[in-house]
Amino acid sequence: MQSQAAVAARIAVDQSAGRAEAALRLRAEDRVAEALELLSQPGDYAQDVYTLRGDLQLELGLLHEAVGSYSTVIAVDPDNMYAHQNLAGCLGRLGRWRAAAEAFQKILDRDSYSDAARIGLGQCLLHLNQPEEALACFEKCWSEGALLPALFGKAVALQTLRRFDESEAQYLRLLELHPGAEEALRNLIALCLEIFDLARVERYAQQLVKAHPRSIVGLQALTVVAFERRSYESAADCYGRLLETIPEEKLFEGGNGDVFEYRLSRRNIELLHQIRRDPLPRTRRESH
Amino acid sequence: MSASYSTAFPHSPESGSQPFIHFSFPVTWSFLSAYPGIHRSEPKPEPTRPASIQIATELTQEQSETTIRTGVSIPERMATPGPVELLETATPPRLADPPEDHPHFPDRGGIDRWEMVIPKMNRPTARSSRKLAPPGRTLAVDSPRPQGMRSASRPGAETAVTGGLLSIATRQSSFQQSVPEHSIFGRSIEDAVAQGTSGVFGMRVRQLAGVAMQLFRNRRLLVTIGGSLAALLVAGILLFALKQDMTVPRRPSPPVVETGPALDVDPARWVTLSQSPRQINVVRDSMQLADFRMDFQGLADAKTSGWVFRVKDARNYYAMSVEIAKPSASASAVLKRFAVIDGRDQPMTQTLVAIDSQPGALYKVRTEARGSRFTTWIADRKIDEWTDARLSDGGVGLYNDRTEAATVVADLAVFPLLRK
Repeated sequence: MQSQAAVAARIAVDQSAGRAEAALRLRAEDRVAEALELLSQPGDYAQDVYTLRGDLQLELGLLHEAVGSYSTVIAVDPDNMYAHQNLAGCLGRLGRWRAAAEAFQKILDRDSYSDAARIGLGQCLLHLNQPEEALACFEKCWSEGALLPALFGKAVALQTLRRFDESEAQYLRLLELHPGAEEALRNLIALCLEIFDLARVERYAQQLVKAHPRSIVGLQALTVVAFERRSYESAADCYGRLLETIPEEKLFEGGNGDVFEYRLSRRNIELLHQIRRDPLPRTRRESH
Repeated sequence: MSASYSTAFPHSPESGSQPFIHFSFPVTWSFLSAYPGIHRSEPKPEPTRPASIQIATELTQEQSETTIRTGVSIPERMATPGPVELLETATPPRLADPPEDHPHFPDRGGIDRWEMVIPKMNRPTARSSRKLAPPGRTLAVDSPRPQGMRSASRPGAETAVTGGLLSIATRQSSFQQSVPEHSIFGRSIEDAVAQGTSGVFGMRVRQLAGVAMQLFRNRRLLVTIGGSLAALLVAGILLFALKQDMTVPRRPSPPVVETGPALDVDPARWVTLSQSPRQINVVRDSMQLADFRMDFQGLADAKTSGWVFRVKDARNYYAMSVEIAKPSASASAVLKRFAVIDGRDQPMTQTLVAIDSQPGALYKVRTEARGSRFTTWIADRKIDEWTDARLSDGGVGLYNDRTEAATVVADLAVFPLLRK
């Protein structure tokens, strides 16, 4: 009887091991969905099988399911940093910023040197509209690898706090290390538009369009600058390039109250279209 | 950060007829998401993680129950596709789960949610007397045995039952193979008598043989004894079955609950209890309601639908809400619940729910309160169950935070639940 039980046990173990092994093999062959299917079948609980399952779910974008898998792992092994990190990432991707922030904080409670957790926490705090706490978080980053995101995070937090000079300094430091960083230039343009420094808007916009010729923000900014300077031909030219990137209907869909907006009426748009079709003679342009 | 701009200008940007075009300049920070470890798995291996897959197995025998404990640990670098590691056996025991405890993966039909599965921990060490006897030794007398299995520890009794009653001939079973050689199993009583078995054992066999001979002489007595023994056997079986049944904890039978007539939820029958910090409106007839069922349909478009119950006053109530993260084909929603006691919000519990509904669609919500137990279903699936005995009765209604739009629901119905 004992020997029969032992044989049964051995078969079960072999099946469990075989499942994990087969799942890994499928994953190595890029058959991730099949690997996940294999691990989703009923079987004995095994912490690392759940971890692997979470990884597969994450790869497939099944974030809710991945949250479940990693939470299960953490319930059994609260010190599993890998699961904590991935859980926090999943929650962040789901937009559950409060829960994600708590998850990142738990990581920091266990590993105060984790800059990845600090960057993640700072990001969550920015989403939670807590820029001061986010700034403090980014300022604590110490590692070389976290330098760029920490600089960027600080710049955004300072910009949100309307400490524009300090924010611009951080962006410029970042641009020294990473020239052409699109998002930094976009944010700089927004910053300079908010203080309505057209010279700097133009400078950063040109820098952005040079690095990313189809940048919507860059072309919008150049249009705004040209329009404000009454350079209608230039404005029409920039607007025409903008319309090559984005349909005009999309530009009528604005109205998001959380961002800086510059609005042009239909009449002015008609003017720009007219200039594009039939450039104004200098005299007419000046009389306008 | 919210701002918009228009200037005084010969061609003022906003001059002219509507509509406008909008040049948006948002401040974003998606650059942070690109940092390793934020939304991806950290490549740095954990020091505690082993370098190869390990399978740990422990086998225990408890009566007839076999428990297999298995744990598979996989190295961190397996998080990325790579060569398959060899399996090797190691010793640390892991957890065991009965099949019904395996994680449940609901189909993603109308609604989905993630759930945390907490596996059972190891049981305490099994009692030594329950261990399986090694081959060649007799089983403990008090260990339960399948019917028909004989115990070798009481050879006399076994002989009296199997040999002395109806049939002198003995039957071989696989179990008998574990009986030592000196057992009388496999030999008839006549053989034993004829061979003149010596000692106490031989005397006992001779006595039994004598009794058997007398029984044969008096058939009526034989039938009587046989009937008595059969009755005893049946009674024993019944007793055994009853004992087995008693070991299973009996659930108290649920109280009979009858659904009462729906309360009048006409707009004129509502009472506003509070305007700030939350606007709380309660059905007037529900103010003393203890047990109830509340049904309504929430709008997927609405950001939040909130409801309250057991509302004593504006400072004491239970509140729940469904918050739609973003209306879409598979919108994410969060079911929140919390209590407000003496005007203070108690810790909030959140459950992530995915509601499969197009914008403009409705989703069904049901909350039931029975005693101190509260259960909530969304789209006909049980999402949440909790207990709280702080508020025993009170009003049922809707709420919204002051900063939020008013809760709008459809087909609201409140039914009192009456205990019989």
